[in-house]
Amino acid sequence: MSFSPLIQQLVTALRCLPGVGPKSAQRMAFHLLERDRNAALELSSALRLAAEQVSQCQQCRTLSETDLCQLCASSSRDRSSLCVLESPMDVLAIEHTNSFGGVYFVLGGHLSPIDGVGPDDIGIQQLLERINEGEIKEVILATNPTVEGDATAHYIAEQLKRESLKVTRIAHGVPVGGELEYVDGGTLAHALAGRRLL
Amino acid sequence: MNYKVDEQAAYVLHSRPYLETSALVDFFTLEQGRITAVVKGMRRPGSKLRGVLQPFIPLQVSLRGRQELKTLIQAESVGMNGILNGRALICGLYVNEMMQRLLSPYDAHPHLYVYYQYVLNELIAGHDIEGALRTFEHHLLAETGYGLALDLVSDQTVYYFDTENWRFKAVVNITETNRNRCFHGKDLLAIDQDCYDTPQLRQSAKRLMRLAIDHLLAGRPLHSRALFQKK
Repeated sequence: MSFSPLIQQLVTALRCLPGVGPKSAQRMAFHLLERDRNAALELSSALRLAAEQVSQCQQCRTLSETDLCQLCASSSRDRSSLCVLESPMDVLAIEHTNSFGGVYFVLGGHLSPIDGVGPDDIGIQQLLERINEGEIKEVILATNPTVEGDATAHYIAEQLKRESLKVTRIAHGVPVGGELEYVDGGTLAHALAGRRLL
Repeated sequence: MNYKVDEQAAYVLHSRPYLETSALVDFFTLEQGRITAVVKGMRRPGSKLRGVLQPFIPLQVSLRGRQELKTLIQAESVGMNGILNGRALICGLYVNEMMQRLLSPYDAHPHLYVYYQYVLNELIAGHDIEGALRTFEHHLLAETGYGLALDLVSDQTVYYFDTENWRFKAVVNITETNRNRCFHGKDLLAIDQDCYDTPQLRQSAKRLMRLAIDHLLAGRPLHSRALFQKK
């Protein structure tokens, strides 16, 4: 059975979301149309507003509808410490730990030569300009612990060698509550290489 | 026709996201050469394959499939030799990008597999990275059918590398226009033996390999080279 054009359009549009296949999209569409028209209107207006107004924070490149995001505008953050991340979701992950009081910079990806992603395709130039302003004393490179993430961290560290600032990389290793027996060799090798003195 | 590969030695060259939780992974296998396979669920948060299917880790993989795109059934790491860090890591990405660009799918290169292991071990050890890279490039060209006829030159002559015809022509005058493509015969003979003792020889070998590889890449440069440059 085929739906009317508008319903079909809605079902197809909902499928752009991650985790939503044809069946889920149908269920969502019928739920909104049959049971919750107000929520549907609210959703559509929220989507439109967000899509039109949310852009990037001019300082840290995370998603924000204002020129400066809440974290960059806050006066309680330590501006001498900068954490470099791959995506805006990583900012949330670090914020949830309550272990970091500094400011962030979102690269928007990682270097991947085979995919043709070079230093000019992610925010490295803007990052270097920000560091050159001189306020920052420590740069924490928290790109993902993948080969590409490590290469990105190494590239940035190389660019910053001339600066008189501390450049650190987040540790890689065994997950908390994990058992060594079940940890893969690569993670264990990194954990051993990054061991610290007690 | 059913395609079945069991417990084959392999390395991951590259992986990219596919659908929501899967990935398309390019493997360099010992007996089948470069193969692309779907790895279902690799990008799920709890997937154990995430850590295993990283480049530069020696693996044993089992693959199935009737089409060109295979499906990974199993992958296990078989002994880590060490971790690539810093500049060696960028060199590793350079090697993988060359392999990805120059190897045709399903062309077996068992000799090259050995040279790939050699270059990775040298990158991990960090003793002579430049020499190891030149040796690998030399054998990559030979294995892909673009071997350089270096053994036919004379040590007293200067040669012009004609990339269009893939041969060395003796030259009398080195001019400004052909200088970049001219090589001393004795340097070419040393490169043929993978002997990169002096800085001058290393420079010549680097220039020769770059000319040959750039020609094969038909004007599309290797992106990993940009990562060696400082802004």
